[in-house]
Amino acid sequence: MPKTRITAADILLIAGIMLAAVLLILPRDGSPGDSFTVMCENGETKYPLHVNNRFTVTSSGVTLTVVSENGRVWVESSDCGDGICKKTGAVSKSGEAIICLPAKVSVTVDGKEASDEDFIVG
Amino acid sequence: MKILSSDKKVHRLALDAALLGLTLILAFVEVLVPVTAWIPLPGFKLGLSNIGILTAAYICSPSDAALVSLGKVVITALLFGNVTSFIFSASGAAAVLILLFLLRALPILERPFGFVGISVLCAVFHNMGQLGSAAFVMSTTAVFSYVPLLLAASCLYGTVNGLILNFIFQRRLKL
Repeated sequence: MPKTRITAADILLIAGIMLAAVLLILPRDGSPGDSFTVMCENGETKYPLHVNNRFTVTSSGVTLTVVSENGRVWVESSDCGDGICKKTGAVSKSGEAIICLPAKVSVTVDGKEASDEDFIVG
Repeated sequence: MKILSSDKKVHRLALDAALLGLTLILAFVEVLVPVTAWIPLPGFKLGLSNIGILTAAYICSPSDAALVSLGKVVITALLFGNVTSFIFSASGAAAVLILLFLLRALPILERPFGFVGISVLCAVFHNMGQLGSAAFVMSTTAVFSYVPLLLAASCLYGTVNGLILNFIFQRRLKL
């Protein structure tokens, strides 16, 4: 049975978790990416970031419009219901991603090196 | 320290059912508070139902918590969910149960903590479990960019839950 008051261990635990959270945020400032990959239920496609582009992706019954311009890519419109993919805004650095969970679609900016490093810890 | 003095199966079943009812009410209350304003993740809720799960675990045992958890996941999925939300809540609930059984098996780990710490840990496990299944469903590790935000949110909501649990368990319970 845990103690029924706030203990020192509780405080240490929370401090430790917050520290881990901060440490995980820092190294994410990656270099600007070269291309981005759109993954949906049909597979994945790579697009170069320096080419201005506008296309639609339909997956799991949801249609999204992806726009890339001036090295940034974002989801302009989507009928997914929660709109979190639109609210995420534009991404441009390697590792950054926009995810639409209802559509099961992700738009990830690839790194200049091997793109199997999705998560880098300093 | 066992609070439940009776080992009668009927007594325990009735208690579990009452705890399930409590957990379901908390689950409905969770949905009322919109959290997407500052946590841009679909399906992220306050986690109040965890209060019911932890109460079940510590008044009775992790097995009772498992029963209540199963009931909650299935019933809320049937009432409001779709397959995806069921997978996510099931994986979050499973992660919490793993933690509870682990703590029961190794009581030394649990001893220094209060309900706040245990609640925060449950929140962390729940969120990481959900994130894990999101990564699996979408076949991408990009979802892990949400880890720092979820860790911070776990601390906040876990603390709130933990304080409520402290209050509940400070009363001398006789069952």
